[in-house]
Amino acid sequence: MRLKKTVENRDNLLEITSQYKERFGLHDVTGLVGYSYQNNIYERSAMANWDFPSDQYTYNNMEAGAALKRGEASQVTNKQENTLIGFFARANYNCDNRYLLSASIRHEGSSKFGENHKWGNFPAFSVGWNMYNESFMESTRNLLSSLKFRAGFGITGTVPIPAYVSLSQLGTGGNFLTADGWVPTIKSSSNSNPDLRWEKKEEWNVGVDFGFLDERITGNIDLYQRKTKDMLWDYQVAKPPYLYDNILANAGSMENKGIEISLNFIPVQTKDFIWSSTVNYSTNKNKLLTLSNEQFQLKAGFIDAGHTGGPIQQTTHRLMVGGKVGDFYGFKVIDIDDSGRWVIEDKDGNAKPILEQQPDDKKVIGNGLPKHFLSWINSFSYKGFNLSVNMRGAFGFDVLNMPLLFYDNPIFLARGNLLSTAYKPKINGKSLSNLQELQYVSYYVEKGDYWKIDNITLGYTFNLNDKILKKSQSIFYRK
Amino acid sequence: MNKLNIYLLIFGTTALLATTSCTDLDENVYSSITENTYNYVPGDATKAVGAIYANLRGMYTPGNRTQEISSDEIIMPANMVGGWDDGGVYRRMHLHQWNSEQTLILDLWKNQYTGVLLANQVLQQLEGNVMPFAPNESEKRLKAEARALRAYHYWIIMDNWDNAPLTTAATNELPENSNRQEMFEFVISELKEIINDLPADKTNDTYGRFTQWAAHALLANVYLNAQVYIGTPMWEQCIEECNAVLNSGKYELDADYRTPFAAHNENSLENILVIPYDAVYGHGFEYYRDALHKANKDTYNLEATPSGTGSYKGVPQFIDTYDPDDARLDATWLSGPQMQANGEPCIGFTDLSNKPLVFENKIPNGIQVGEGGGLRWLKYEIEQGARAWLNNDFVIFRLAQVYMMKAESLLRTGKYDEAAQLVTTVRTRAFKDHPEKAKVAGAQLQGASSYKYGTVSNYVLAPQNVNLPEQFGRFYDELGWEFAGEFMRRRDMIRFGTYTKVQWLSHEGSNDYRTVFPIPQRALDSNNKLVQNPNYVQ
Repeated sequence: MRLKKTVENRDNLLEITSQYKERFGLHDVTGLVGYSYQNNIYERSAMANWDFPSDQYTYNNMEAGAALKRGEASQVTNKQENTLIGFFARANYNCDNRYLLSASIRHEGSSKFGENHKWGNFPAFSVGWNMYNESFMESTRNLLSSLKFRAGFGITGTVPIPAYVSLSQLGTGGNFLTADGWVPTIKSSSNSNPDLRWEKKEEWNVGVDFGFLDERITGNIDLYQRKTKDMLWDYQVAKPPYLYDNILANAGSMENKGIEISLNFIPVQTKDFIWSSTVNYSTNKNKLLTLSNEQFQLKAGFIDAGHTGGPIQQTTHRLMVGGKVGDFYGFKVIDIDDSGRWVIEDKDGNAKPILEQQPDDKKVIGNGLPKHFLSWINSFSYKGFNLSVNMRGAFGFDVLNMPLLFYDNPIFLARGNLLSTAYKPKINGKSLSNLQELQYVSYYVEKGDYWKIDNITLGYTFNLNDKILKKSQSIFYRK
Repeated sequence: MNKLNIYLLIFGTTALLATTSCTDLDENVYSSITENTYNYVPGDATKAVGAIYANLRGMYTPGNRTQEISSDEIIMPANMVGGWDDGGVYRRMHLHQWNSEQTLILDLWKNQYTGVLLANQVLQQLEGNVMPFAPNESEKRLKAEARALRAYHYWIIMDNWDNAPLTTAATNELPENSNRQEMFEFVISELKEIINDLPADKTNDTYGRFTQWAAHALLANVYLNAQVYIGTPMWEQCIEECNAVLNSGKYELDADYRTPFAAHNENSLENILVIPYDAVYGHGFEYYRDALHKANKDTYNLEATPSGTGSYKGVPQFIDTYDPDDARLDATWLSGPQMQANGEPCIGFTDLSNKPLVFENKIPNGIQVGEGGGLRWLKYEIEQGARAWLNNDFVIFRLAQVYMMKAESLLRTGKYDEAAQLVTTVRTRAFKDHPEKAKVAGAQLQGASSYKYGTVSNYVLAPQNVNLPEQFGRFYDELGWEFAGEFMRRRDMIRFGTYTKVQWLSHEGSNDYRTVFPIPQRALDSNNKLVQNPNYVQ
């Protein structure tokens, strides 16, 4: 079988900006207006054919294969286009390098949205106070080398990935047998959403940048709160009335809050040896505020997501109103019964054999999004040598151990291989019997905390004299 | 900023805005068509109704996973050494332990409602006169076909779910529960309204499409089960619909029991409505991949390989009810040593590793079996060198079923001998070599079933002490022999009161609320107006 495929992805870009700069004494003003146009055209064509009279044709005589004549060969062509247009303006004001103001606005439109929802307005404001430059700070300058406070608010927009979602599209529903033979059929090919609009993210942030001891210690601290509104999501909708299972729509909002801290310091600095170090820490809390709108009523207020895959056939996560993104959702196991089957905790907290499981016995059994991220980067240089060690970790989260889920059970010996621990006791010193199916239960959800060395780099920089360097450069340029 | 820059800026901006393309965000569609821009042409109306028919091809797999393997006729057990467990989905059907998350039930729901929703859309388009008609297209007929198909789907839906939504318009409103009474009335009134607009002839043009006779057969099925659906028997009405088909003279029983299921069963005289499949143009029928063992690839020189050891097996207690001389036994079930087309034996690969593969009518229990355990349902002809997708058309209604529906209605209204004559007619081709065995008498049909109910453990039957079905046990057996695997057993068992009461293999009986399936959790979760069926967890 031979497959020949061509893909062309063309971006037509145009951006025009005009800048304005003026200085009046201590007042620095810059302005910018612009227009941007991004047009993307994607084209794909593919053909397949087989049973060729000779292999020597390779891909250059695609019609020669017999499958085409038998009506089996396939041919696909596909073309899509989308356009993003923006008008924007920004103004910056700087007073004596002490007070900073900035305001901007984008008026942006995407072809992917519904007829009356194509354009959105996205303003942003920020203020800054470079306190270090104030005269009253002079007495601190032997210790402090920079200090700046910032605050900002902005709205940004998100465009969905697929095009044409707002249009009612027609496609083929497979062939249909008529007196004249098989003919292609016509039907709606998706759930269209004429109200598709921008997802908007509103973000507040405040922060401080600082430096001490001639910038040997620098750092910044940022606090943010983001609210995502009109969240774009491929919602699962009811059938009936929808012909297809999902619709891309704006329903739901989510909140994220967090802190990011970054510290850079140089503990040792001599003529030949430098040790510099960076520590980054961040934490984020998220909460799903709503998942419904007037169009989509999610009765239970959740969406199930993620899947174990066959043969277990269970979803792994649930996105719940009031809950967090990344919640593992399944049966909580508390014991194994005499027949070697899991015993789960039912919705009222009582023990229940797993065979009597009901959807409402499922619980949040973990969360896959870390609460804390920490990284520590160290670099050392001594004469020509340099060594860097990057370490990072994430804490306060769970992982689903998929290899255990599938292979740490004696069950049906169904896929040939098992872990040697399959028959070992799992809970309360009891083992699983092999007369049952695999189950997605809390036993396989484990603490995911880790701290690891990501990267160690050791290098030596040759200090080549000018002559050689010039030579090597000329060699390089001749490439 | 100097003046020149300002002028350039003003000039540039004006130029941009003057050319509309710089703010134009209309979507240019290339490789699909949209309702707003597409101009319907003559012939499209047929293609739009055709989409409802094409969707029916997806019914085969969810059909057998719900109607057959939850019954006492067929089972899909896991293999002793590997395969066919699939998270216990088939076992739950056998044990009647499904809940609202059972994907096999969801699959049937999706397939049936897709048909309903497509019909609603087409009918709205036809009412709105958006499609011009070709000279050989009849608007009346197309509307009637769409409504008949929708009625068919609603029959399946009310039969399987009872309180499911009844939506009849193309709208995105979330629907509420309906019930069997409403759907029953809807199905009957719809069919009565449109039946005369359906074609009455049997030609190439009506093959695989709704005719008046298919509509009568559907009505007969609905009336046959009226007692279950609405609590009122309607035997007379069932007989009337059967008579309409029988008296039409359009159909006759095929001389050979295998003909309605042949690879080219378009030549059958008996089939009233089929779902047409084709190896190239109409994909979807590959049932042999469930039933056959992968070594059987060489028996038929198949293009595709059956799945592992195969699993779609006859329940031995059911197979044991057959008369060994009944031609339908071998025409329905594949048994004995399996041979390659070249005469060499087929070889096993799990518990019969390196040994000849033999299908025996023995199963230790309903949970785990060896690769040779159980006969395989192989009713539809597999051609030598069959392609991955088969050409056989799947039978929805056939004349023998009309005979048997009439016979049952007669039986239940006390006309035993008249019923027996019809049963004898159907049996005749099954006992060509033993004509004396074909004949049954009215009194026989009233006798007990020969099905030995009870659970089986380690091949040993623990007999169940029940006298079920209470009435017409022999007739119930006749239905099994004639229609095994034709998506009727679940409905027949419910009508005869055995579905939740009797035991077979590892099935120990269940509760009466399981005569309807739970409304799939996915349908409930996304529609706050929908309520779960009684006794299933919300």
